[in-house]
Amino acid sequence: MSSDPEDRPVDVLEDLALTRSVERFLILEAELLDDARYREWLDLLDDRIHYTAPVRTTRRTDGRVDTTQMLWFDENRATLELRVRRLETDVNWAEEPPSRTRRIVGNVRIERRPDEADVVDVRSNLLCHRNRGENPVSDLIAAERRDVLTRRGDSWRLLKREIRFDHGTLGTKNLALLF
Amino acid sequence: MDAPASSPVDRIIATVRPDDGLVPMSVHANPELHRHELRTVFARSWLFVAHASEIPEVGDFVSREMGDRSVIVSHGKDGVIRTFLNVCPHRAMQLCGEDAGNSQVFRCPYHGFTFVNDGTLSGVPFRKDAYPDGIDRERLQLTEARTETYQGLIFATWNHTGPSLEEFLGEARWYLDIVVGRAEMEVIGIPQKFIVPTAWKIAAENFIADAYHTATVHAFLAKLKLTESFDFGREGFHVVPTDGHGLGIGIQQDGPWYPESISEEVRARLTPEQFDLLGQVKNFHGGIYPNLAFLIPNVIEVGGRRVTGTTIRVWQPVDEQRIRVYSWLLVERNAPQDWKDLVRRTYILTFGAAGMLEQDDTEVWEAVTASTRALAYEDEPRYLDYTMGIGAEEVRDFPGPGKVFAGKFSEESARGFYRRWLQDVAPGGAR
Repeated sequence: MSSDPEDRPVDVLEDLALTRSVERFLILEAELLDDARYREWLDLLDDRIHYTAPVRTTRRTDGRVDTTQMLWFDENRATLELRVRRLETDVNWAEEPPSRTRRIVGNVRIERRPDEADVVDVRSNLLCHRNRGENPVSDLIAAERRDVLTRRGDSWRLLKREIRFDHGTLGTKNLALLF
Repeated sequence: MDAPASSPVDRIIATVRPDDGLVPMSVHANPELHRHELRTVFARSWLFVAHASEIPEVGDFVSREMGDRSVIVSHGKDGVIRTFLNVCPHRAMQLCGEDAGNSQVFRCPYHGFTFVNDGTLSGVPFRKDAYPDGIDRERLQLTEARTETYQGLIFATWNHTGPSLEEFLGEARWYLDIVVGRAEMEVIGIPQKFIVPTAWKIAAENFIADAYHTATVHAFLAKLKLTESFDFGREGFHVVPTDGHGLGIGIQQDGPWYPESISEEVRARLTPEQFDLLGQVKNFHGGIYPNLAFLIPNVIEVGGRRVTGTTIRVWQPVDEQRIRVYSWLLVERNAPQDWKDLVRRTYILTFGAAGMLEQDDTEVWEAVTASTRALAYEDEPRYLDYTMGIGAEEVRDFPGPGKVFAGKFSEESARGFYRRWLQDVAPGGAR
């Protein structure tokens, strides 16, 4: 549930409506990616999109962060469009034949911004099941996404995403897909 | 005919014919051969463990792997870099469960034995009660590998009596000077690590001897009309500095691409011949035996600026059909921040686990590994073709050492790799 920073009672209906709206957006996004509808996925992005995924490392829990300057992804609109163009060719061997993916999005947590009615910060959990070819063993990729969404009509656009994969060494052989 | 007592491993080794460009499929994903490699290749060679910039301060350490064992690479108080088995000599507990950190002591979580990062056992809990007659501190010190550094590349080996690192690198040093020694280099962040289901030598060969695959495997570049910047051609040189090591250099005539602000540093660190060659580098791929590789990817234009980076790789065997890829990005330490940012963004887009080029390569390696696994190939050799460039004439006036061939399309360094490999797996000669 989102919380009102001044501790006033939240309008329950309004809160439910916001939650439902954000979840719908994330579920639609997951569907587009699972169905390889990448062009439509690009339409969900704000032109100023910044899309990152820091590499995580194994450190003791004494307050030191587990990320550094190295990233799996560091994308803007242009590079994401290039990646989509690559996915659309028939010679991108990494996804030709394509993986079968199933993304489950859950644990959606929304924070409103007190001074910006049209922007919300959202955290969500992603579990992506990825299977290729006739391999009976699938990859399971888990991550938390930390997003900034901006309103567009009744829906949203993705302005910023940081993906925190729950992996140090990645167990999937490439990140040809988007998360 | 085979002697009746010969094992599958012996039989496989006996069928490797590098001089003829014939290597049997069974060298790649055979479990018994893999175990044999761990006992020979990985037990004897100099193995890359870290870049000096990863452990710059006293007490800095990283935990890495050598063969099938975990090691700690630590920067000592005396400035010496040491590599220790990440195993408590007391009862084999893992000493260090982190990827990296800073500590001059390691305390075992099992019985509390404490070791200084020069290997000495310094603390034994309740020593007077537990060991009233004393404890053999010398026997219980950390097991240390031999560690040497070349141009910031830290290597370690279990072979305490074999050649020095410089001897092992041999003629490859001249080329490493250009790739990692041209400027003071630093690792950006940490290495990416990802599991690729491939046998390790398939990756090693690809980086040292395969310029030929680029047009096909990375065909998307042509489809997206990005090829103007990319080198699908054979223009350049193929070099075998010393058997086991290999590299290819693509050549361009548009001059140096590295930032002007570091050109004085580069000129001071390289010989005039190395400096001139660097100015013509379009791309530079290669590797050091057994499983270190390096790549200066094709210089490309990004926003009107020519850019490339330097990536180094370890193909760390997990088992006979899987590796953990370690991928480091190196950048010139004294270059401007905007150059470093551009280098990083370009690398992420093209190489690494999300890299558009890297993704294609790993797909191929996995499928090749799967093909080579069949038991039939253990029983009856079926040969892979490594004949490209056999008998080609060497270039005589090249500024760098080793065997040099005109054009990048050659597999001489793969043949050299297997010649070297045979020295390790069959030291008495192939049986």
